[in-house]
Amino acid sequence: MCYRSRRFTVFRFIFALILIPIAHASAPVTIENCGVTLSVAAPPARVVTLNQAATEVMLKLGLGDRLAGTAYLDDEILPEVADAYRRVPVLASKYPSREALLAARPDFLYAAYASAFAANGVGTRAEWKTRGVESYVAPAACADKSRAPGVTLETTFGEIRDVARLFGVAARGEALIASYQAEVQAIRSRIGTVTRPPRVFWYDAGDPPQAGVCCGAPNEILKLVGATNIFADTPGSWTQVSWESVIARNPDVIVLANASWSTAAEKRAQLAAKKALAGIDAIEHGRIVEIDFAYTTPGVRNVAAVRTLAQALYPDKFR
Amino acid sequence: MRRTPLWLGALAAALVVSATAAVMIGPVSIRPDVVWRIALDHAMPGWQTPSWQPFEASIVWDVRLPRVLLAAIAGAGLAVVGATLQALLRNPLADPYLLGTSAGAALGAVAVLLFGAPLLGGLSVPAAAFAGALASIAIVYVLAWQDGRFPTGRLVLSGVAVSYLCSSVTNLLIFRARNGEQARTALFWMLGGLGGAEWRTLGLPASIVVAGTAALIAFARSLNALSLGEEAAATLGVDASRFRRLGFVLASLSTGVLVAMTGGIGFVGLMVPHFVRLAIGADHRRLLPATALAGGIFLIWADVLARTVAAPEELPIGIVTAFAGAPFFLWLMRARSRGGWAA
Amino acid sequence: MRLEVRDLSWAVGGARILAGAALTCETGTFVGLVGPNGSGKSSLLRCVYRVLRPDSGVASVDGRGVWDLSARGLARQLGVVLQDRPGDTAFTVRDVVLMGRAPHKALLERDTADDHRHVDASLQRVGLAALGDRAFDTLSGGEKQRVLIARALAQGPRLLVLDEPTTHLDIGHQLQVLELIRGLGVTAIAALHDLNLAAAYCDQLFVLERGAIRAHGAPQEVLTPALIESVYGVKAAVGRHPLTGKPHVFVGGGESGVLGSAFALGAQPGITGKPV
Repeated sequence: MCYRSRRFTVFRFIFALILIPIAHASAPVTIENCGVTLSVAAPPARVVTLNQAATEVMLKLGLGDRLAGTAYLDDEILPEVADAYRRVPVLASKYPSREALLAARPDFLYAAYASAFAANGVGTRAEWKTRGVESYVAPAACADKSRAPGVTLETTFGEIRDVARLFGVAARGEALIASYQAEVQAIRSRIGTVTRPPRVFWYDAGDPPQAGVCCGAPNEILKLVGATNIFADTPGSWTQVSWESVIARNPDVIVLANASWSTAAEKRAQLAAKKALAGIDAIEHGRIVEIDFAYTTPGVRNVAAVRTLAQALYPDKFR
Repeated sequence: MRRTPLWLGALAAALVVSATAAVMIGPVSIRPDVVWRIALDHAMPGWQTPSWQPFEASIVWDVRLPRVLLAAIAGAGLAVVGATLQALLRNPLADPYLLGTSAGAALGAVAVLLFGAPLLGGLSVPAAAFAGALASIAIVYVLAWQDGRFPTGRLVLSGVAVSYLCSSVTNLLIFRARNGEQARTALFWMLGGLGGAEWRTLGLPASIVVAGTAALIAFARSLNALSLGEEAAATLGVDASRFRRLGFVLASLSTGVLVAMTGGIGFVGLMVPHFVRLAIGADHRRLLPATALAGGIFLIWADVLARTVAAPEELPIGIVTAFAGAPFFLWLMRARSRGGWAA
Repeated sequence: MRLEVRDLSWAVGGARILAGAALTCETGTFVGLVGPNGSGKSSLLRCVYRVLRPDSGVASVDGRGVWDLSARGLARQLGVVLQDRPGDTAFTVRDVVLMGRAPHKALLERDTADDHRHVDASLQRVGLAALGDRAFDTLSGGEKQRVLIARALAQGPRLLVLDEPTTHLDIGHQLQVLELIRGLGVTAIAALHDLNLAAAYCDQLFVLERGAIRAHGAPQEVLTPALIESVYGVKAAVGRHPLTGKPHVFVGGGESGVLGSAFALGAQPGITGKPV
């Protein structure tokens, strides 16, 4: 009799041990996101990502099997996740119509910009919630960019943590974040101390020029690389400035974002054609760096951007 | 008779003062005496030792001065064309863009901005805009032609139709833009801006506009006669249909060149002639030169506002002129209700 | 200046407007061109002042065809007062009259003191010297009409052509305008719809019916009850005006029962539509 009850206790103990992780895995996850509280009872299985940055986060976290569709690819997908990307249906080259999205039967929506949820487009977050579909917007989209610190790597890491928690892969999320932190640390130690930080003009596009200013991803990348943004005092993430200010602030280096709608080559030609800019140090000495645009919006690619920029600014330290 | 030389002299002086002030004002503050020294240095090189920074010289001479000149030329050209079209079409609401110029230019410019790579350091957008303007004008004239004449009613309707067609295609292109930034660039062009002014590209268009404006001023008497009606003009010895054709050609050419360089700056051609008419009368021999000067002054100051009101950002100048448009129309309503054009 | 019109014909859109009209206007006379609506009065005058090109026939002044002269050359000799008043303009009275000097000016030539003298004299003759600086739009109908006459006078013409100069004018102004024209001493031809006014002021009348001259001569010869009934389709009696002694037409007295000696034919505003 005693022997039997002890075995029974052991069974119960083992049973409980098995149950706990299962219970843990199916506990509802609640997150505050851009002014909306969202809660999922179980990890969603049919996610539609509405922007490239969101798609890349999902794929980097190995969650390709949970994707029911993707949309709005700006440029080429991150090479290391290209295979997984090809296995997911593409719903639209820009934002899909409401109908197309409904046809994909999503149970969760994930976007990089709040504007993805336009009332006369895909539909608002509230609208989708009434259908039982929760949504997530990248925290960088609703961060306050009018003053420092604005958008930082921590913002992106917070996003990765949120998404990992939502899908029950918290450990993977932490591992990814740790690898990024290590990489940034390695780059910074290679850069070492910089006696004279290079003064950089981050030229996005246009005439009058749109520049990366105080509080968006461009500024964060520059900070990590130990450079100074000549427009660090101007609020916003990308804002229009004047050529006069650029001339007056005289940058040592100009970073050009390379996008399909505004290629670096076009911008080089534009800079070369403007006689007024010829006296700027960066142009006189030809110190112009190109970075693909997708690496410069808040997201998993920013660390790679830090590496590219570090190599360009301190070539002797990265030989 | 009507204090005309006084008015013209005052306007000319105001133009010079405005231009000077406009070169001094900007996001980077430069002392007035530095401005003059830099200008002097370019006129007579080597005459003085530079007491200014190289970047100041660059800003004053390469950035601001061409811009202010462009503002003066564009303002003058648009205002004179507006006054001319108001006389030729006998319509107080006529403006330089009535015959489809601006819509056609926008279509050409936006097509290149969104879908074509610039060829020669940025010159192809203005070239495309000019081509678009000419094409739409040609279509308007062809549609309106009837029995060897261009009846006013048909011209206006034809212009409106072509404008609508061009702007709907333009809007479609913008909607299909690759991303938000591109759409914004297109919108920025369409709302008008003087930021693209450079000495290199200023010369040819400026001479065309100046020549066109001078020609229109020379034909002021015929414009007077036409204002009374085509038949009345004929009885005064003016070959109405030939003169109207000439007037439209000059007006369209000037407008096409200007829109290609500056985008669609609205209200200058519409408002300035009315104000000047109020002060100086409707005789085109006085009205046209005065309107040219007043238009230049107006646009110079509108550009100053566009550059400073939202610094460091730059507003499209079309927004500034449009803001002035609303009170203008209200004023015009009240003026006309008190009887006639000259209140 | 002598005006001669020979065999003018013009058709448009399948309708024949002028069918071989002919008339002569001797130097210094005031000729009245009368006829019902649609008879082609305005079209005939348009052929004279060169806005309309007839299909055949010729109008000539002092022996030279109007199309043989340049537009400006003709405008220096021939002044026209149109039926249409200019619409919205911002001109002053002086501005309008000064335009009459345009045919005499070269492209960039400025206004001379001589030009201003012409303007002053013209305004004087129409009795509007005091209104020189008024806005044209603010004048009454009669005053506007007189300004247009002044403009035609400023051209220094030897022939005046007037198309319905008394439309929209009240009785007093009608008489005033016609008195003025007759007193100018310039050769003049006017299209008039009011037979009585024509009879009172014109030296010669030409009656136009369906594009051809039906009758011409002195008013008392031309205006007969038979002619009036034939051309206008109304019964009429012709008598003598008690005050002026000129022929006077009394309309009515037929089955239509329309009475009224005071009614001039078609004098009500709006009835005189422009013939095509």
